[in-house]
Amino acid sequence: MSALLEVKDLHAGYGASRIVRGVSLSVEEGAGIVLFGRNGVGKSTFMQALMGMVTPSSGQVLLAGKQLAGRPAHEIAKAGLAIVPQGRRLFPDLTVQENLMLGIRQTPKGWTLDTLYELLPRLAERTAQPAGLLSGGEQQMVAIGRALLRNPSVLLLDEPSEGLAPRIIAELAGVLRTLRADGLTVLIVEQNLKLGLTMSDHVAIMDVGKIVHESTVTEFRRSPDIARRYLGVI
Amino acid sequence: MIEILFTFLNGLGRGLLLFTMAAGLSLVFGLMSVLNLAHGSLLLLGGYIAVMLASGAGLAAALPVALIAGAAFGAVLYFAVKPVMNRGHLDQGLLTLGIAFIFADVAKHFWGNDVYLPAPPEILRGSVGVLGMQYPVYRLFVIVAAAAIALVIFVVVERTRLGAIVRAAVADKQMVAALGYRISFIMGGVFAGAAALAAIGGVIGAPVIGVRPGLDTEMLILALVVVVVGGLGSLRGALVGALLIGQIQTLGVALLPELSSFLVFGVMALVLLVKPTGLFGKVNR
Repeated sequence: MSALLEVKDLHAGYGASRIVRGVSLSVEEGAGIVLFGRNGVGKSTFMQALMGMVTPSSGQVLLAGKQLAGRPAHEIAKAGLAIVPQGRRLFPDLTVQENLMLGIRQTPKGWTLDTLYELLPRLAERTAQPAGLLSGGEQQMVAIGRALLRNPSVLLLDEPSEGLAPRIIAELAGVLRTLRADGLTVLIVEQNLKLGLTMSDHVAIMDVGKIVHESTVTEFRRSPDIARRYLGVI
Repeated sequence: MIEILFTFLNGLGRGLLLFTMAAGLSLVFGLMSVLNLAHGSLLLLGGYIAVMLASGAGLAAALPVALIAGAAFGAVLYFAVKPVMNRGHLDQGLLTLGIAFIFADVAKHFWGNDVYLPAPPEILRGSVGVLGMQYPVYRLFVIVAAAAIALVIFVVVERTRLGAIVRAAVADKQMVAALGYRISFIMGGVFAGAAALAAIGGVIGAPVIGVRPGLDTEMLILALVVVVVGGLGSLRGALVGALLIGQIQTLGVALLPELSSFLVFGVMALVLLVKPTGLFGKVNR
């Protein structure tokens, strides 16, 4: 059986600078994969290339067997990928409700505004506020909610903990674990090891545009020298 | 005192008419950063449609025709501008100005240099008593109709899902695309909608302002002043700017006739000196 999301030898960059240099990665249905790596090794460019926000120069992105590489972002979104981008990229002048509304893609059993507000009750109190006036943690929740309402088959999360206080990160981890327990397929890029590991079953590490390590989370935890070698942490 | 009230009403009508043009100009600029110098041609198109239909089918029949013709012209403009979208304002300005010149010549070929004042529908002719003086019914109608259009623009842009998509695209097109929306449809739609508004403004205003060669550039320049004063890309700014310029124009002619042609641009210069982004503008482009 082939994976739900299959990336093969993907190359991408901006102009002459080649940033993603031949990444291959499989994401099984229901799996959680965390992609670690130092700053600037190409993790965000990789995620944007998956979403079509950066056009890949070569390689394949197959979602349930359908070729997505080179397609425009709106087609990739319709095919079933959704992204919580780095820096959240909410529409600051639009209200919380409007931001969420733009994500809505109805499916028979998927997320609706009502079920989303149950998951994130604090947003329900702020529906009429401009998203730009929320706290960082609340903004991140809106970004996640907006992506969830697309009812994606794979959710791409790009550094959701960036710039958040530890207490908020713990709250975020709780929400993401709930989603994973529901069976949501997630590919997450994280700097925060704890958050990344707590919601994943597989680890991949990227260095200078390539995947240099892949293992289960259990294996990764057992061999601290991997983290030391590629990430410079203990 | 009554004369001032009438001047105020004239200015209000003129300002609201200007808004139907300036709103589209501003939205297109906010969304695509495209300066459409052919926007005045759309008003003139609406005006000539009014001229053609007023004597036969009636002015009311000109409204749906102008809506469709304006939207179609707008869609053509969008496809013309698309290749130079990322090439800066000078290229876009030259292209759209060229299209405006072509349209002006074609219009002159068909309608010549005459000034046309198409007749309003029967029930909107004549005048009513306002505080003991007579004021033309059609001028009151212009105020009501243009205000209704302004209200519709605000409701659609500020209160509907479609409007939210457009406002989101003004902020971050790539993210809107990543949510599954086709940006070229949004931009083409806004272009066509803005064009249709200007054409409808042309129909409504035709019996009052007079349809003639040169009306396109005259109104375009005023609409440009409006969006500069109000702030590029801001709908609220366009409304305030349009009402302000409408008043300054009519009051200027009434009170300071020798300075009237200078006043509008004087106000624009003043606003630019005090607040370079315009009254409601945020980003300095």
